[in-house]
Amino acid sequence: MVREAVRTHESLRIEQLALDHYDLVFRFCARRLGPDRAADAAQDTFITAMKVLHRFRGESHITTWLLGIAHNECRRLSRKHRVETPLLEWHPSDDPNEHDLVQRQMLRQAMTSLSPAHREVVLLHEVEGLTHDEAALILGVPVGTVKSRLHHALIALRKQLMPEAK
Amino acid sequence: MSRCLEYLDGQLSPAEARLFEQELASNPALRQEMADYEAIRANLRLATVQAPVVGLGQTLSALQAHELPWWQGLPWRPVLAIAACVAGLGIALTMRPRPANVDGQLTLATNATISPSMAAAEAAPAALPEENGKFALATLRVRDTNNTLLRAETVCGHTNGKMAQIVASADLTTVEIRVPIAGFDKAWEGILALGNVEARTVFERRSLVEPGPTTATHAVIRVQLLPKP
Repeated sequence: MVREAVRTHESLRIEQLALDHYDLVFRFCARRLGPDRAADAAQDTFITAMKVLHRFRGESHITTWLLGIAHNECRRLSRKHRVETPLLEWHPSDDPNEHDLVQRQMLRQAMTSLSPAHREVVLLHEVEGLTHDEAALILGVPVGTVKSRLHHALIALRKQLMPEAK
Repeated sequence: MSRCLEYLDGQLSPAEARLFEQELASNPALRQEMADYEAIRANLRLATVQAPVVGLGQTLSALQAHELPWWQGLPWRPVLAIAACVAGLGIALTMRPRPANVDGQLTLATNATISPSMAAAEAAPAALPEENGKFALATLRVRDTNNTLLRAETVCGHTNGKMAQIVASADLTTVEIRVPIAGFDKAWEGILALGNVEARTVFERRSLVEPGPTTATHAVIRVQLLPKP
């Protein structure tokens, strides 16, 4: 009876997590794998989360913890399906000017030229809006490494987007 | 490292930031660099995923259908605490002196090897003659019916030829030890350390230490193996 109660409690907890954070995880996965595979990755993320939920100690925010799992699932599926290109798109209602449109197209291409490690920190920090600390937790690297990769990545992006820049 | 990026990330100290802003005001190239990074970051932060979010229902179904191993999700701290208590209790019970609930026997033995008659007495406890100084120690032992030694304790010491007189009973569950007053405490402690035996003195122990009409020079301690509960 206790076992059933515990399991019920855990099931409810993970279901609530899925309800609260599925959108975030889906978009996170969609940027890395494309929307077609994002649902599979998101589902795998929550199933993995359910298996290891008892290990979550609250040392990081729950979203950081979930995105860490999602990051690993994306890497696994990315290797399996040989997905390389991150999905960068902008909402049409942004109403960008022509310059921005051109720059976004170039930015999309420039992102593909970055190394996977540099691309990932750009996605985590600039696109997902995570802090350096959170990105470091997800990637399992020191914060200094995240900052260094991010700086190098942004410098590389600028060189590609603004070739006239020094 | 680009100072622009450090500035944008807020990683410069207030003093460094002020210096950077002064340099920014006077350096068009730096302003351009800053504008480039701001534009890149602004576009990155506006990136979105236009595809509709799908799959929540399937994910919830998968979570409900997924079977967790029974032990997962248990509150581990209470479980570990309970397990530790059970283990501790088990160890305590194991290490506790075994109760004399076996059909055992009490035997008296000496550590001496000098006298053949004493060695025979160890094998089959019987009335032992009063010692004359040949023994070093005498030991009281508890054995079970398989002759396995359960407990042993030295109960009497030999002092100046005044060794305790040890008398074993016929049923092997009771022995009597006659000790001089001077050796009483040592013998008594040894018997108590044996555990699960009942010990009585023929003379009340109190009377041995209190002044009064009793002027006993010896006490007889009767030690009895406790019966099965």
